[in-house]
Parts: sequence; C-alpha cells; structure tokens
Amino acid sequence: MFTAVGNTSVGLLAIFAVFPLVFAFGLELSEGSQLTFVTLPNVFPQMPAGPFWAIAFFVGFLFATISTGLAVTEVAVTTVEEETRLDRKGAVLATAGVIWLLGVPSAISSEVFGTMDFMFGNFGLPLVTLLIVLTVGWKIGPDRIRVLALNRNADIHIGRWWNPVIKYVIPAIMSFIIVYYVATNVASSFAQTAGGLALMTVLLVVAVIAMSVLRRGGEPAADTVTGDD
Amino acid sequence: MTGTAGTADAATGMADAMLVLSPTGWVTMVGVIAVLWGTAVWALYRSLSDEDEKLELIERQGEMDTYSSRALAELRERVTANPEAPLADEGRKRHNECVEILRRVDETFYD
Repeated sequence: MFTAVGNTSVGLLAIFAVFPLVFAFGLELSEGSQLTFVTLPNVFPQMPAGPFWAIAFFVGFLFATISTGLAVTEVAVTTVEEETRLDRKGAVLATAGVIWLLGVPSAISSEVFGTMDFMFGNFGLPLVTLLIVLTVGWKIGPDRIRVLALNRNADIHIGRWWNPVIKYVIPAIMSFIIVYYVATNVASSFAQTAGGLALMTVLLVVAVIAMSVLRRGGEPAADTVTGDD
Repeated sequence: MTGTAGTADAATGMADAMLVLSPTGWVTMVGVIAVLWGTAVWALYRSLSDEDEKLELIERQGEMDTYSSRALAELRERVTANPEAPLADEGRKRHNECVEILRRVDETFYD
C-alpha cells in the first residue's frame, strides 16, 4: 500500500511543491534533471527556512525514487526468477547488477543522462506501462487478477472500480502521453525523438526474442498468478 | 539603539525573504507538503503495522487467513461462475486453502 499511496503522494508533492518555486524564480520546467539536482539546491537557500524545504523535498524525492525503483525492479526480478534457474537472491543480484551496469554511463556523463532521461522517461516508461496494462486488461482480464491475486493478503480491498481503470483509463492516459511527447518533440529534437522511438522498438523486439529463448530453454511458468501484497 | 536597528534589519530581511514567494505560493507549498507528506507517512505507518500484525499472527499460529470475507466471497463467486476459465483451478485452490485456514486458526487478520 505504501508503494501505491505513499509513492503517489510524494510524487505529487515533488510536483506541486516545486511549481511555486519554478514560477517565483523564473526557472525552466523543461530543465528536467538539471532542475532537480542543480537549480533547486541553489534556490532553497534563498528561502526562509530553506533547509527545511530542501529536506522536505529531497527526502520525499528519495522515498519516491526508492519505492518506484523497488516496484520497477521487482517486475524484472520476478520474471528472471520464474524464467531461469536462478533463485530469488540470484535473480535480485543479476537484475540489480545489470541495472547498475546500464546506469554507469548516465552516472559519468550528464549528457548521456539527459538523453536517456528523455528517451526512457518520455517513451520507455509510458510504453512499458501501456504494454503491461494492455496485457492485464485485455489478455489476462483485470477482474481475474483482482480477485485472485490483488486482494490476496491485501491491506485494502480493491473493488470492481479497478477493472475499467485498468482496461480503459490507464491505456488512454499512456497512449496520450506517448503521442503528446512525440507531437511536441518531433519538430524541436527530431533525432532524439526518432532515436527514442527506435530504441524502444529495438528493446521491445530484443525482449520478446530473449523471453522466447528463455521459455524454450527452461520450464515455462504458465498459468501462474502471484500477488501476495 | 543598535539592538533596535538590528531587530528592524532582521524583520526587514525576513519580510524580503518571505517575498521570495507570493502568499499563494506559500500556501500551496505548505498545504501540499502537509497533505501529501501526511498521506505518505500514514500509508507507510499503516503498511508497516499491517505487516507487523501479519508476522505476529504467523509466528503465533503458523498461518493466517489470506483473503478478507469480501474478497473470499468474490473469489467464490468468480470460481463458481467460471469453472472452466483459465486459472480456475488456481482460484479454487486459493479459495479452499483460505477456508481451511479460517477453520483452523483462532485469530484472523481480516475481520
């Protein structure tokens, strides 16, 4: 429940608390990661009780990123655990290791970080969310997942309202985000936009091929529904 | 005199500093931080205390109920209405498992 409610709250906190600062100090929202890590640390000291606001923002940001990171990594860890012979510990180490390796270039170069942020933030995350939601909503069936897995050992009961949200609302929002980003960026940064879409397509194809190879090699985990939270 | 001047300077400095944001900006910042931090902390507290309670039940009884009565009723309804659907066997297994646990345990997690 904390991942869902707490993460969303802190994410919204970051957005709404930052907007007044952005407008008051004439900052550019499009600065992206520069805004968070370079501009805002220079803005907070100019405010009364600056350290308090800085702590409220950055601790919230830390919680939001950690809880998001855990939730996102768990998807890969569960898949690796189910589709290979690795146990839980091995799957966590393998997944975290690959993520760490892939993150090294972004940690070294802010330019690479900016490009990756643009490509994965604008197209990668909405695309993955769209694919997962389409699979749950239109292939597996949202009610089946809700009744069997989501409400198992759950802290709060998820009602039938969840079904249309998964089937229609989230796919519509994700599709809008992807189309919006393509439409607004294709003219100003064609290379990055086209590169981002091409990279996501290649990654998608590679992931599908890798999964079919893995499934052929190991025991398929057909008809398995987990969900203990 | 110096003390009075110093206090006046400090007050002016604070007033200037407050002008960094408009009153609406301050209200937004403070309100958002109070409401959203409050929600996040409540969610964290509720999650941790629920998990703590589950752990205590498992340590005491060795097992705990896996579905609330409402969720169990929905699961039963679904399995009964769709006996041949994919994952129906899994649904039946989970339903029966929860019913058997409810018969065995003294304390339940869900009311």
